[in-house]
Amino acid sequence: MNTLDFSILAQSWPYLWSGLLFSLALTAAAFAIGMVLGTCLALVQHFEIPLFAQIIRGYVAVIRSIPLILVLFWFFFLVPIVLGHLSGNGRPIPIGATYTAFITFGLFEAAYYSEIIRVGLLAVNKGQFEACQALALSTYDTYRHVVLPQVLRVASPIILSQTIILFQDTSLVYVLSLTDLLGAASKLAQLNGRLVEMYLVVAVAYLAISSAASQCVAALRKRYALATSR
Amino acid sequence: MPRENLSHATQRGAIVVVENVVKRFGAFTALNDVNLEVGKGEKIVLCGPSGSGKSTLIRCINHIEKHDEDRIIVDGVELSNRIADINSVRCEVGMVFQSFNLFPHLTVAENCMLAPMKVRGLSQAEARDRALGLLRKVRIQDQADKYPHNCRVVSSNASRSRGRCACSPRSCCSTNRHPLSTLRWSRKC
Repeated sequence: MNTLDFSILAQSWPYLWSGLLFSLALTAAAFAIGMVLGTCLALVQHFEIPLFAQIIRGYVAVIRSIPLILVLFWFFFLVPIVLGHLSGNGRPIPIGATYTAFITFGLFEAAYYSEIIRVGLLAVNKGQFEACQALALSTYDTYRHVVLPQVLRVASPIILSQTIILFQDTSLVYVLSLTDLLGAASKLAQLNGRLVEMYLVVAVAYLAISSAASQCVAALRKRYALATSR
Repeated sequence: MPRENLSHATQRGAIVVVENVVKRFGAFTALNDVNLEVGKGEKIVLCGPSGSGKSTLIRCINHIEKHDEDRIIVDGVELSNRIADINSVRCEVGMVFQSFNLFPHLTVAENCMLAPMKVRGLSQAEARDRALGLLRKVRIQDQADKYPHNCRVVSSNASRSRGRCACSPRSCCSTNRHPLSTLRWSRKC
């Protein structure tokens, strides 16, 4: 009967660590791009800017209806062809797997974050807007200093939950031959034949990180529940 | 606005002039040919049954609701569609809402500092000095760095201070819905 042998981990740690760093970097970049772009998308919908609001609604509906892995394939294979046609010479312009991953994840998460923030904007008490009007605050100051801080505070548990899902989704970059934490473990497992040990370690790593983040979600929920209760 | 075009009431020194104002919400007429003059230094109370238009009138004076007919003049400025006119009135009119509408993510002092800093261009230090001065007047200066939900005093004092803080020192009026609510106290842990 085969027994588990974790001694292989001693020499595998550097490669697993580099994979983990890639996963974390991709998560952080997708979070940053997603939040900035998502906030803009949410505000355009909130202000009902003609034409743009409809386009964004369509974009969000499409992105949220298809799997991320399909979006990755679309971006990796189709965008170079489109760029080639747009450039005039017809030859596909390669984007590269890394840029594809970072851009696609950012655009994908922007759709989800925009929905979270859009609903958060609708949930802000109308009295807050009236108070800002009564104080003669500009629209920019109203949203910058009053509305968006409240939205982000109240929505932070949901945003963090979505970010945990994002972190787990980074494992899909294997389809682009990129090496994240799971990809590193897969390659090591194929190299040394220790599949169970490798995948167990990766599972523990994902569990530890996701659990820690979930504890933060619970703490944030409790904090803002106390803050809003009177 | 040229002095000769102002209503006679304004020329007599009235701070708030409401002339034949009508406000409709769809088919429902909330204000029907309302006239009001408030002199400088005068304190008035509007009494009436629920739904009689008291709040609507106050909200029209601050242009939170836009009146449909005739005119409202506050300190010589007629409320129109011009944003500059509306903001110049709002800078001089303090408003206390029934539900206070304090900003929950800001401390009491920060609530009072935001408008002077962003609208009047005061520095943070100046705005804080002014805010603490007003909070001292309503005896809640010890609550300055607490958040509204943590205050042991009901939020009306903080809301009133915020409304006054946003105005210039020579601000002409403040509107307060349900002033008897200031008599309530609530204890927070």
